[in-house]
Amino acid sequence: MTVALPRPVAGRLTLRRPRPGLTAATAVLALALTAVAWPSLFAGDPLAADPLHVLEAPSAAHWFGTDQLGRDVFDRVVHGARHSLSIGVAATVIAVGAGILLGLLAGLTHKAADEVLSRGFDALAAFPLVLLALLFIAIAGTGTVSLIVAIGIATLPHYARVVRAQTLVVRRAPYVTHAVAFGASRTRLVLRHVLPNVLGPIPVLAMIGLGEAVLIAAGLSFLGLGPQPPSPEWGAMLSEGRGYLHIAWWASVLPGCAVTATVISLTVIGRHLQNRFEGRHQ
Amino acid sequence: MRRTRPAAVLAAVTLALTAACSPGSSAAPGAGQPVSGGSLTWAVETEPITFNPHQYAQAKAGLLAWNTFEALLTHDDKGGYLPWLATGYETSPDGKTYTFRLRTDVSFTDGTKFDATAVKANVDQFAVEGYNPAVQAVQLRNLDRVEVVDPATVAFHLKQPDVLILLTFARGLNSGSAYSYYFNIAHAPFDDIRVRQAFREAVDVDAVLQGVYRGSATRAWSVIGPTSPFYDRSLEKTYGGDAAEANRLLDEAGWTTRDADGFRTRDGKRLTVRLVQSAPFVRDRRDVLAQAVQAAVKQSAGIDLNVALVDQGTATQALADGAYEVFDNSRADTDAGAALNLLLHSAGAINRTGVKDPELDRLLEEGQAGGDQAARNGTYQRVQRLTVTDQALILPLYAPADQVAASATVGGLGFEPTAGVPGSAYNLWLGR
Repeated sequence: MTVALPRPVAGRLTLRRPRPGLTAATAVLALALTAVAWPSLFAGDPLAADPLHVLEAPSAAHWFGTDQLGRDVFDRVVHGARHSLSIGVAATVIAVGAGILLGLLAGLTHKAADEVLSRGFDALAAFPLVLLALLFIAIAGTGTVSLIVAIGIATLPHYARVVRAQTLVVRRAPYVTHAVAFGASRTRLVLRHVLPNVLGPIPVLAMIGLGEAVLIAAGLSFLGLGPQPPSPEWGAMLSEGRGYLHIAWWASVLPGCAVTATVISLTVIGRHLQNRFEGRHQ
Repeated sequence: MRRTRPAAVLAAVTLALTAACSPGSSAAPGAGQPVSGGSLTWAVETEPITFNPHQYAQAKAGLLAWNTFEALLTHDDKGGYLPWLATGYETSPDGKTYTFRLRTDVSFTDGTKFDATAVKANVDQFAVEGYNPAVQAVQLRNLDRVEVVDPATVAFHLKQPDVLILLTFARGLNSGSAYSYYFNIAHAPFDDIRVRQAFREAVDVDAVLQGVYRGSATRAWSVIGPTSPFYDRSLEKTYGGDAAEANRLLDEAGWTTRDADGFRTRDGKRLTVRLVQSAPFVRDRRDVLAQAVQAAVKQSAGIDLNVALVDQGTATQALADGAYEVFDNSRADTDAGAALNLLLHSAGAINRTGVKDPELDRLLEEGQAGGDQAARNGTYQRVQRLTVTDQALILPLYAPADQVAASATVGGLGFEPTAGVPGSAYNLWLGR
C-alpha cells in the first residue's frame, strides 16, 4: 500500500513561482544604479559634440545614435541616470524626512496644532503634484536644487498623513502608556517608543513614491525647469529630441524608454514589497 | 494707423523658420488672380512681447505690427522708398528738412481723420522719457522738431543731415546685421583681445552651422549681412576655426591651467563666459546653435560658455547689470547703418560690447550723415574692419533668412526687399 506523499503546500508554490516582471524590474534597476554609481564604466563623455555626425541612426559606433549636436545618445542616457535618479532620490528623501517630522508633530501635539498641520497637508494634497512643483519653481527659479525641493514639498503630504495616522494609534498603545507611567522623558518616549513604531509603512511608500518623483522630475525637466543644457537629463533629452522626432526618433524615444523602464521597475518592486509586507491589509 | 484698403487674405500659411532661403519670389502657383475675403492663419515662431509698433524689437513681431499699423513710406523691391500714408516727400537743399505731404483719405479705425497732427503726436511720443530710449537716442538723435505745416503737410527739422531718419518713417524690415556673438569688453576675460580671438578661433563655424542647420544657413563673416551693399567681402576666411591658434592665444593670455572638468583656469578662476538668451527672441534654433558653440569652445580650447535661456525680464536685468560676456543679436533694419549705430556706437542703445572708440563713432556718424553710395560703402567697410578684424569684438555666425511654407492656394507671398522676412500679409490673397 502506498502512501501518498504530502504535496507541497500551495502557498509555498506561489512564493516560488517565477516572476519575470519582478526579475526584469530588478535587473533594470540594478543597471540604472550601476549607471548612477559608475557611468564611465559603459559610457563615454556625454557632452562630446561632433557637428559632422549629427542625428545619425543607431549603429555599432553609436548604439543609440547621435543627437542634434552629434553627441552620443547612449552616453547621454547612461550619464542621465545620475541626474534623473538622484533628483528623484533627493526629492524623496526630503519628502520622507519632512513628512515624518511634520506627521509626528501633528500626531503628538495639541489638537489645534494638529488641525493646522493636517489642513496644511490637505491643502498641499489638493493640488496636482506637477502644479505644486511648478508653483514652487516659479518662485524659486529653475535649476536642479529648486527642482528637488519642489518635488520634495509636493510629495510630502503622502508621508506626513501616514505618519500622523500611525502616531495617533501608537501614542495610545499600552507600551507607550506604560512608558509614560515609568516616567520616560518626552524625548525618549518619542525617539524610543513612538518613532520606530510609526515608520513601518514608510519604506514601501517611499519606494513607490520614488518612481513618481523620478517621473515628475523628468516631466519638469522636459519643460526646461530642471538641469539646464547641456546636462544629460532624461526629460531634457526628450524635450530637445522631440523637434527631430520625424527624422531621428532615437534622440527622444530612447531617453523616454529609459524613464519608462526605470519608473515601471521602481513601481513593480514597490508593489511587490507592499504585497509582501502589507498583503494582509490590502 | 489702420489700413484703409481691406487686406486681402488667406488660408493656412506656416512660417517655418530656418535659415537661408533666397528672399524674393515664392509666388504660389494655383492661387489665381487676387481676390478679397477669406481667413488666413499664419504661424509665427516667436511670441510677441508687444503689439506697439513704436516699441517692438522682434523681427517676427514686426509682421504682426505692420498688418495693423501703417507707416509714412514703404520700400520698393530694391530697398528704395515708396509713398504709403505720405504721397511724397521733399528734402531741403541743406538736407536738414524733410517735408512730407500726406494722404487725406485715411482715417483710424475709430473714424478719426489721419492728418499732420497725428504724425506729430506719434513722433513726439518718442520724446517721452522711458518710452523708447533706443529710438530716441539713435534713430531720432538728429531730429530737432516736428512742424505741422497744414493738415496734409508735416515737416521734420533736423539738427544735421541724416539719411537714416527716413527709415524711422518707413515700414519694412531687412537683414541689416548678421546674427553674431558680441563680446563684452567691459570686464574680464574679454577685455583681453587674445581671449576674444581665441574664442573665435575655437569655433569651426562652418561645421557648427552644418550640424545645426544641415546646410541651409549662410555663414556670415562680418557684422553686416552678405546681401548688404556695405558688406566687406575681404573679411572672408581671415579668421576662425583654428583650435591650435586658440590654445596658443589662451596660453599667452595666462589661462594655462585646467580644472577637473577640463576647463582652462587662471589664478584658480575658471575661464567662464556667459551668454544670456531671452526666450521671446530665440528663433532659428539659436538655442541649439548656442549649445553647439558651447560644445565647440569647450572641446577645442577649454572655454566654459555658460548659456542661460531665460524670460525677457531676467535677460533685461542681466544685460543691465553687465552680468554677461557674450551678447547675441541680429538686426532687421533696412539700412545696415542703422543696425550698426545701435550696436557699435558708444551711445548705441544696444552697445553690449561696451566699445567706446572715438574713431568708430566718427565713422558711424559719417555713414549716417549720408553722401554717395560709394563713400558710404568705404565708411562702413572701415567700420567692419575695425570691429571684426582689428578689435575682434564680434563672432559673426550666419546671415538670417527665412523660409515660408504656404498652402498652394495662397497667392502674393513674398519677402521684404533685400531682406529675409515677410513684411506683412498685405499683398496676400486666397485663391479658389
